[in-house]
Amino acid sequence: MSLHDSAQSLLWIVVTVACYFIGLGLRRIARHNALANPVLVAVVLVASLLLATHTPYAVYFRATWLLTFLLAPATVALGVPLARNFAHVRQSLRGVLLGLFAGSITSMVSGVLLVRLLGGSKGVALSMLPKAATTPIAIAVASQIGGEPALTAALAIVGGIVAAMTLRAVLGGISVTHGHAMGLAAGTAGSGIAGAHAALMGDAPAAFAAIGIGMNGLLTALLAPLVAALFNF
Amino acid sequence: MTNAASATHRIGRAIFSGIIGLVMLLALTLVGGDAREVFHLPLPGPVIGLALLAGLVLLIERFHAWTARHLTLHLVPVSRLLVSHMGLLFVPAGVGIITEGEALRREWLPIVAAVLGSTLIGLAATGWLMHQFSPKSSETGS
Repeated sequence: MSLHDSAQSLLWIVVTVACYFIGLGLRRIARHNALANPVLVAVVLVASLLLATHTPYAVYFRATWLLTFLLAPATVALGVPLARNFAHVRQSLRGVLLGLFAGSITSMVSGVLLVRLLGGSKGVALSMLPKAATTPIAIAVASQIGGEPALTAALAIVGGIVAAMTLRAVLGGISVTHGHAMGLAAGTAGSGIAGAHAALMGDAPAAFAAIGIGMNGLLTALLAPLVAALFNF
Repeated sequence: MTNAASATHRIGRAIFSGIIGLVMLLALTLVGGDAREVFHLPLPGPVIGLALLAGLVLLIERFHAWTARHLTLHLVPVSRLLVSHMGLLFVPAGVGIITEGEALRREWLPIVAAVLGSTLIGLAATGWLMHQFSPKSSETGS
């Protein structure tokens, strides 16, 4: 890596962190309104900057490898709240398992159905199918069943942002206000981004989010080919 | 003077502890990746690392509570930092949406409706069933 490359890498990392901090600031100004999502703000700002400076996405993505790399230990880190709240998880094992299955299957099936009913292509439907799973699983499953991995990655992240923004409203709407259920729903339907959002509520929601992320990843990897076959793809 | 010195000392210890914690997390990421390869598991390395970390802490806790406490002492601060700002780490991948302009222009309605709809349905289904089948004694907030 030349000096120029590392300077550029540092520049884009700093820009990304700065945009995220602007997002955090906006969230504070908006009094933690869920609609002021720092990830969404940062993505929009960075995307605008790339388009304005005619920087190819590949250059930006390579420059910010360190941030993407840290996703791995950040995911492992969810094991800490999980260990500390394992008793809670074991206590509500039946609810956890039923919730997981329901969430995983309805996410996959409703994604495919909505795309197809609204006239979307098979490729988009198959890219939509695994998008609730944690991004690396979603990408692997997409390429396995014939979706477009890059589109799936984008959908997984947008879905995570949507889940984080609507978590309280949706669950509040059906009178589910308990932190455990919120954490599980966030991790299952919105994986890392929504799970991290639920973790802001405390250690126990973080533990249930960790279960949701890990188990929905597993369920999606196992069931996605079956769901795809069900739709005759 | 002593105040400043003890503050520096505290910050130094926090950084040291954070580094130990981060090294543990990275080691488990690697072990998770290896386990995935060796056992052909359908899960990414970090998710296996997550399960291993939780299992390890619980196992050590059962046999040697003191060690488990000290392990988590180093792990908790860095884990909290990483988890609460995990969103930042997704930004580079999220910006990748700009390369999907063509698919979005072509099929924006099914894409937007399906992402929104299926995410909301998934959230509601998970939360509702979890709520219905949870022991009511633990319904005391988070």
